[in-house]
Amino acid sequence: MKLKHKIPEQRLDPRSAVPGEILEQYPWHWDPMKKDHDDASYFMHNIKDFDWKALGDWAIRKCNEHLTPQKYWWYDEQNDAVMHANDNVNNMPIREQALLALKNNTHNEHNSQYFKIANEEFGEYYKPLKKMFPNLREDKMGISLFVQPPGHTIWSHTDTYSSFIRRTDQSKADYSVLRRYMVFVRDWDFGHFFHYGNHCFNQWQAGDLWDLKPGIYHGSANAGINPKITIHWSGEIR
Amino acid sequence: MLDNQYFKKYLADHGADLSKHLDVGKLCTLEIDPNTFEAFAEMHRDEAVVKSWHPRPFLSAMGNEQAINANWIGYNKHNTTESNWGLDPAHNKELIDMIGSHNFKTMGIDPARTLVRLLEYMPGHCLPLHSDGLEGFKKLYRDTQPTRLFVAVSDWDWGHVLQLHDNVISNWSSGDTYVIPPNVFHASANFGIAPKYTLTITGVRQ
Repeated sequence: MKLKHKIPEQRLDPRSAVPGEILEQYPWHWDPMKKDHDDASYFMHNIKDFDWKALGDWAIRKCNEHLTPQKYWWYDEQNDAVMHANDNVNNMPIREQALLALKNNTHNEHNSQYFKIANEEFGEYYKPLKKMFPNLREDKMGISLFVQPPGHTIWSHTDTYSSFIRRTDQSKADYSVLRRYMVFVRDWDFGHFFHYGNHCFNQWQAGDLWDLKPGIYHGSANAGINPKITIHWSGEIR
Repeated sequence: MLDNQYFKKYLADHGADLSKHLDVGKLCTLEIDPNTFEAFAEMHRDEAVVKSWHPRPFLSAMGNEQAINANWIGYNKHNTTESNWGLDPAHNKELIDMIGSHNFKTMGIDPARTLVRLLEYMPGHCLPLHSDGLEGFKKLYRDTQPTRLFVAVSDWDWGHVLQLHDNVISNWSSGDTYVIPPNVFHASANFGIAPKYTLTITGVRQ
């Protein structure tokens, strides 16, 4: 398979693609070789009083109803557009980071797929999940669960809350009040990868809760045989 | 959604059990210049072996069974493409020379009975869970007890990872070298934005 572009001779600098206000409000080391970092310190605790297994099993059954990952990333060369499935996200703050991954690079619609269950789609789970983070405003909160099949990645990025912006009809995000939390729904398995800054996760347990503080570069991959499932709460802090 | 029963059975039949810990430590750090290997890749791009996961007539039955199982659950040319150099004897010799005799001494590997391959994984591509068949080495040397080493060419970058059984190897420096024990299942991925360059060195310990 011949590449459609040259491999950059100079290192791509992901920092340059992150919105300025995130860099200002959440300074981070931006050095992959830094050893004395505290990137692992954002682990909060394991949430034990919730049936994660039931949620995970339910999510897989829900995906099996249609078998089609709703989300994937691609670059529309003809229209110079960054596409998240059918959504043109050129006006979203993720654009510049997405271009680094998609334009003249090899992340594409074939290797970035995931199933997404969000908000009201959670059915009877929605209410208890909403109440799990009382520090987030209920009217300014989004919950999404990702099922990442084997062979797919979520390219490294810093969160820009594009889905949240769309959902809450805001023209611009105020990153100073936004927060994202993530829980692993199933135990770690072969081939499951997640890096949060310079910390590469290993052997997580279902219910492990991480505070995904804005401004820290992270991504994930599944090179194993079982789906990887995570759930995320994004919203405004009260 | 995911009919992974065959792959699961394959893992169970081959004793892959995550509840058992495998101790993995760094063997050594080679003194190499990543730029020379990346330049080698660029210079010999048209001679690279470009492959993805699918059954091939020259693989062992084990290798093909793993490829079929991987294809069955969604691995294909879009997410497993690798460019590699070293199967061509001229490339192997050049790569051995680039590594240098002092590094072979550090590794305790006989450079005369070694197959070096330089691997390039572009972003979005991964090496699915597998154990090594060492077909390339066996074809060359017919030695049944070689050692397989993983060597990081470049300093670690975000999204570059290797998993050896229940160990995630990351945050490496250029030259960091790990033994991949026989029959141990492992996987790797590149979900960053820069290409991932590594060496696999398969050789006989001295």
